[in-house]
This record gives sequence, structure tokens and C-alpha cells, in this order.
Amino acid sequence: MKSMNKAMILIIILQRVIYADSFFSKLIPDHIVTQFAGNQGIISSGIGYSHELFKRETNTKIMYGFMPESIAGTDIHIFCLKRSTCINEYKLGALSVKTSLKLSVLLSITENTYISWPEHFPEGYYFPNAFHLQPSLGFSFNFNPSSNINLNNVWIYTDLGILDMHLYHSIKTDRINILGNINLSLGLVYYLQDLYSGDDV
Amino acid sequence: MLVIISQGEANPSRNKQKVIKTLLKKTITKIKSYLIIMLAISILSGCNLFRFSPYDDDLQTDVRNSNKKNISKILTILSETSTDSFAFALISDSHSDYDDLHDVVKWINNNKNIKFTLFLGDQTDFGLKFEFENTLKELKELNIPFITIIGNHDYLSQGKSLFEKLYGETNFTFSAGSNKFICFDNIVWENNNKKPDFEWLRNELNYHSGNIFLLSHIPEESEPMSDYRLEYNSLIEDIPNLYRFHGHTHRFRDEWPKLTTCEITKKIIPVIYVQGSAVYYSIEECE
Repeated sequence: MKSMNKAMILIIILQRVIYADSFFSKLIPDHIVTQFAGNQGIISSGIGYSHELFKRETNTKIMYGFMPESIAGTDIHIFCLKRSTCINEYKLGALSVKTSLKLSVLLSITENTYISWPEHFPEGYYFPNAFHLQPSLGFSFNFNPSSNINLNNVWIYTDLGILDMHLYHSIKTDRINILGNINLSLGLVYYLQDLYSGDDV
Repeated sequence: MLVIISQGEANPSRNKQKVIKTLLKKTITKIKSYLIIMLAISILSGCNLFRFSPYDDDLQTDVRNSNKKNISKILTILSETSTDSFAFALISDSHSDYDDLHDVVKWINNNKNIKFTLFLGDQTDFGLKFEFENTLKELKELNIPFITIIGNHDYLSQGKSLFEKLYGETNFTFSAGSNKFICFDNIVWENNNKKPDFEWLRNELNYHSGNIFLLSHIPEESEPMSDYRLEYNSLIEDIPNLYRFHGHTHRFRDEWPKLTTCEITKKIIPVIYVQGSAVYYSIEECE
């Protein structure tokens, strides 16, 4: 237990030292995130950075997800860069709700899927098939009912997204219903910001 | 609220406006939250919402090994009519043109003399499961059996294993009376630049005295077959009653007894007629 406490103190000291340096402070994420589904594997996790853009709260998340061969037929590694902009925020008693527009760039490393095609393919024969875009509409929720427990830093979210190819097919053809191609993901965000600023978490 | 009341004493009409505005705001907020909850419930009540990757092989259809089942259906249909006198349609390269495929399927359904359909490959753009599912949804509307062979696009990602799950092996044959159909997987580049199984083809081409219909996605003059053109030509050159059907180029080419179909969007459908040992064809335009 004592060694655990020592380790925690060391981590906090290191965080504060790094945070004191303005360059490194920019590299430190202000939140961590984990997500279920959403074309990012079964579970994906990563780090995120919050900033303000055009007076709106904006987030950039870098995430990694994985699907093993036993479930997907082959190993799939998914790297995701997700950008979100808050478009609406309101409170309902202890419940805070944020609505965001998001855009994810998904890079999947898996079988017969390439960023640049092997040499035996003529140049430009195929588009790279490892990348996908996924726009989504996100709803984040924070519930903080009691002043005894501070849950301000914990947000759960759900995203309604559509993969670029699904969107393209839905627009291109009458045979595909856009609603049938919407996907849902659930996630959890934990904001670390207060830890660095010295506020109680 | 206290502030509003105190201001209201000074200006009652202004106070009323503010109270109404506050009430409106609260109501809108409540409606918004209800809408969000309703939306969440209605969406969650649907199925297949949680998607993990477009590249996985978790097919949302029960169809498995469809070629084998459809071969049985073809043989049943032909045994009821004639195994030596029948017609079949050739289609290929539908990719993601589902509207056009739907029109072609309707046209085939209206032509009662066509007993089955052969799909000569490229039913997807990127070999992804939802592309296979979308095409299959259209093909299942055919009133007659259909046989599909694999195309180069169908090989991408996990396409080959998805194809094998849905349709079965990529090299296969079937016979109807004295007519033998050889479905040959000649995909090279997308198959890790592997040589097609010419030994299998050689064995299947030999020792058949009736008509042979050789179906493969890529015609030998196409670039992916350039390394194997001579070997392929040497295999087929002395085979009598051999008819070859291909897709891939998206351009219709009539080099009878070899036909190369065009992409589905052009809606040009070769129909092959078999009458005993005689084989002839017509090119139909579907509008």
C-alpha cells in the first residue's frame, strides 16, 4: 500500500514537472477515453486533447482498437483520429448534456488492405482501401447528483455515425436505406485536467 | 427568480416577458431531452447498430454455400424441362450499382425462357461484408437460381473468405446433361500475386465430350493475366466445343465462342441458348 502511495506521489510530481514546461504540457492529454463499437473494434481506447476553436469546445482524440481473428475472421487493428465540436450544451438539474458533431478518420490494418498497394499493382489501379471517414452526431452526458461525490470529470457518450461507404451507397442508390446503415457507439471519457491544475478531482 | 420579481415591481410587462421567456426556454430544454431519450430508445430498439469494423466477417445473413444449393436447383429445374435445351443469362461487375442490378434482376425475372443466371464476378468494390450483403439482397430477388464466381474486387480485404462463406469454393464445376460448367478462379494480383490453379483447370478441361462453358472473371488479354497468358492459351487451344465467358473489363466484347460482359450499368445482357450440341447467343438490352 505504501509503495502504491509512493508511486502515485511520484506520478503526480512528474505530471506537475512536465506540466510546468509549456511545450510538454501541450503533449499531455487532458482526457482519456474508451469506446465500445463505432467501427473502431469492439473496444477502443485512447487519449484526447480539448481546445477552443471559433469559441466552441473542440476535442481531438487518438484511439486504438482491435478485433481478434476469433471474432473478426482475421486480426484487425484500427487507429482512429476523432475530431469533435460541441454545438449545444445544456443542463437538466444534475444532468449535463452536450451535443457534438464529430468526424473520425479510421485506419485499419488487416488482410489485403493497404495504404499503398504492393508493387505488382499498377499505379492508381485501386484507391487505398485502409482509410475510412465516419461523420457522427454525439451526445455526451454527465450526471453529478451529490456534492459529496465529484463526478464532473466523468462523461459518458453515445455517437450515431455513418461510415463513408455506407453514406455514399445510401446517396448513390435507392436500394439502400440510410437509417439502416447508422451505427451506434458508447463511450466513457475521463477528464484529467483538474489533476494538473491541482483542483480536487 | 427573486431578481425577476424585484425587477417586475418596477416594470410589470417586462417581468412577464422574462418569465414567459424563461418558461419557454425550460420547456424547449425539456422537449430536447425527451427527444434525445426517444431517439436513443428508438435506435437502441433496432438491431445491428453496434458495428465493430467494416472489415470483419460477421455476415448478417444466413445464406451459406449458395452455389452448391443453386446448382441442385438448376439440375432440378432442367430435369423437369430438358438438360440439353435451355437458356441462361450472363451478368457481371455490378460493384455498388444496386439500382442497375435491381433493374437487371427484374428484366431476367420477366424472361421466362432463362433458366438460371451466371454472375461473372466483381459484386463488390472493396470485398467488404456489407457490399456482399447488399448484392446478395438483390440477387435473392431472382426467381431463378444464380451461380456466382469471384472477381478481383471481391478478393480485397477478407473478400475471399466472405465469398467462400456465402457461395462456396472459388474453383468448382457442375454438369447439366452433356454440358459442363467450369468456374475458374483466375485472380492473380489480389491473390498475393499467386498463379491460378492451372493444374486443376487442365484436369477439368480433359475428358469431356460435350459442351464446356469456362467461366472466369479476367479475360486472358487483361493485364493481370499477362504472365500466364501463354500457359492459359495452351490449355484451351485444342479443346472442342469450348465457350468462354468473362467479366472484368467493363466493355462488352463479342469474340464468339468467347464473350466478355460489360458492367451492369450498361444493362447489356448476353443470353446463351443451348440446344443439344448447338450453342448460340443473343445480346439483350434491358431498359
